[in-house]
Amino acid sequence: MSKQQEINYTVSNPMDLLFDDNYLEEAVAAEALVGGNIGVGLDWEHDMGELLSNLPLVGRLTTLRVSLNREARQLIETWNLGIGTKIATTTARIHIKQRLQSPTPEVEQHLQTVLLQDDLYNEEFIRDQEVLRSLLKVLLTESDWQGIASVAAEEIRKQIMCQCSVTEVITV
Amino acid sequence: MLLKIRLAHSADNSNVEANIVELNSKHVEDFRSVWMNLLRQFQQEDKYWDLMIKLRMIENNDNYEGYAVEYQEQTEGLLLIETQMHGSQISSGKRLIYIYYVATAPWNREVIQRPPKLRGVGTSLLLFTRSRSLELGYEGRVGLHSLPGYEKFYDNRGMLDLGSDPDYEDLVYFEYGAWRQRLQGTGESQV
Repeated sequence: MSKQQEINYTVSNPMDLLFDDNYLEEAVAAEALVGGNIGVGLDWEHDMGELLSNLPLVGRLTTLRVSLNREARQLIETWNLGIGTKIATTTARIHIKQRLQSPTPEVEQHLQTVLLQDDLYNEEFIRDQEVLRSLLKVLLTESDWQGIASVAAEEIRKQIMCQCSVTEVITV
Repeated sequence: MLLKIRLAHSADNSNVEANIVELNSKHVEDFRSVWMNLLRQFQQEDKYWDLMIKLRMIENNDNYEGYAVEYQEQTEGLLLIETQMHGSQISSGKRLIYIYYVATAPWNREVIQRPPKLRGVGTSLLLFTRSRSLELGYEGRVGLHSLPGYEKFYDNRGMLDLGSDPDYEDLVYFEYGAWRQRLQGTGESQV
């Protein structure tokens, strides 16, 4: 089923496609390709305890997480780390998730404050950079940043060694 | 709300009628007491605790909606959507329905039951999101981040693959643009 085929259907309501034999047959075949599994979306993987006992805030926490991921990525991208950028961003993301899942009392207090600011949660991402930067500051510890620096440095080291070997500039 | 749909019964290749209904406590309980045991047993991707929280979010937030596919009083599929906060990546400034969670019942997955009991559950829910998007004035726009390994389903269903999204753990983002209906006999289309 290609996109082009779909827009050529003459029905006005997408649900009517289910009563088109050809469409249903193609759809069933497409589902079979993935064994009926069609999972989507970010998850948190395990219980996050106290912070999420206030259920109305759960949706906001996901918004906050993707916003922090984006802010950290954009910040790291300005540091000109070259080939180390991607791994640094990925590692920052891992730390952000961990810190949100198991916040220290200090971080939890900051999180509660940010999660309760209604005006931040009108879109997919929080736009207030100041809020995000100040939260990143308390969320990611020095040891987290050391870890990020290490993996980025290692990536650059590997790239140098790989290039040396390709261009045969090392004499053994 | 009750919407009649048609699904395929794997055992005898017949078509059966089922319903899409608004999510209620019975569906949540079915998930907790029936689905979860099977999913745990077969170590499927669904994150149980996470979904329980997501399902309960509907009770507390106007912008979340939940739906279920019912067939013979069994919960055959679940859907959770967000309707107010997400924008199109294809058409800047246009709102869309974002799919937070969609899943078929364990017995509709080949890894757990072969052949699966029903087919077409995922497709029905996906089409429903487009229909809901039209109702809300979003012109049929729908977005989602596919879990790894399932991308080909969304690709195959005509969604546009906009690549892996670094802010969403590198999950691949898919989007349906505006629904266009071809006017019969003219070759022209309309939104």
